[in-house]
Amino acid sequence: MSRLRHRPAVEEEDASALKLGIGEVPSAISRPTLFSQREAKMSVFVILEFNHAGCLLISEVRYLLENREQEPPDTAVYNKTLEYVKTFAKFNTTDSASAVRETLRREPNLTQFETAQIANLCPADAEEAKSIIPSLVKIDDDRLQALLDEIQTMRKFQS
Amino acid sequence: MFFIKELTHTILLHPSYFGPRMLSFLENKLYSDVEGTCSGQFGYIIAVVSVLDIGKGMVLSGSGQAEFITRYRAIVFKPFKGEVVDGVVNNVNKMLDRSRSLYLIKYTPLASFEVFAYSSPFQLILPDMKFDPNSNPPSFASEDQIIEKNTKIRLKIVGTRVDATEIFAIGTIKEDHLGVID
Repeated sequence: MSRLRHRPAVEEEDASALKLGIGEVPSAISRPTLFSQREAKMSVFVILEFNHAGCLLISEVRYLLENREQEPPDTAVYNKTLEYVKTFAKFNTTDSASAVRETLRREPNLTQFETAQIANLCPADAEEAKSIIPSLVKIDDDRLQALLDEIQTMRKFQS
Repeated sequence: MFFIKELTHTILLHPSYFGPRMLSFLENKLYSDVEGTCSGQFGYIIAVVSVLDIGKGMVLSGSGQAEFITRYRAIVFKPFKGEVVDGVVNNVNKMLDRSRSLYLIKYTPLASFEVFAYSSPFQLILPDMKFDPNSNPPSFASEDQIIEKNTKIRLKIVGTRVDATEIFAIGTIKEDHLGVID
């Protein structure tokens, strides 16, 4: 029991609370009972750290890794990632990946995180999308469905 | 989730390296220092995409070494609680279960999973999935899906533990639209 209590403070963030758009107030502050003051500060800091970071689609990571100028490093992390992105990249060409980004940009309410999740997971219908990305509830079913249909079509017809 | 992020790294350079090849040495040092490392704050640094600024190089009084604060852009990976991710199962095994046969999916970052039977108070998996030790390779099976080595699954991360040099996450497939994918 005492061992459990002495475990170092675990830093945790909620993906749905991770607002990557600029100007959002991190929700961690509003839960002071769950976090100690120090931990709350820390998670706010971490969310802010990623505030200006761009979320990458798996397809984009694949392109970046495969088109490196330097010799690829021989690290376990690098090799595993390359294998992962080759398996799960949904869009094979940069053209189709950027077309998907362009499509999703038309919906101004989407955060970067949501954009990347939609493109990485390619949900088939609005219900599935809202189930795996809960923060999408703010978007109308019909509009979301239209977006998803368009993405499915792009995926099907990429060369 | 993969991010692209601007980061800084401090390199201390011994005076014997001051000379014509210093810049390329610094760049190589940056790559070998940061790529493949993991920090609790940013997650795994997978690859440096570009070096933005190699730094001015201040000679430290006392030691003669120069300190370069380099700015670079890198691909980082960090899993978040509540995020849904795809991955490949790399191991299925059963741990000694005391009361209930349940299992957790351990998601060691970068897409390798260990699926194992595990007795825990958290029931994270469909209760109708059974561990089949006689199958080859060992698998978990229900009526409509089989999880074995190299199965692709979609899971939701329910918790992460961030150490200084490693990140662990556990996930669940006991929700709609999660589980085995094609």
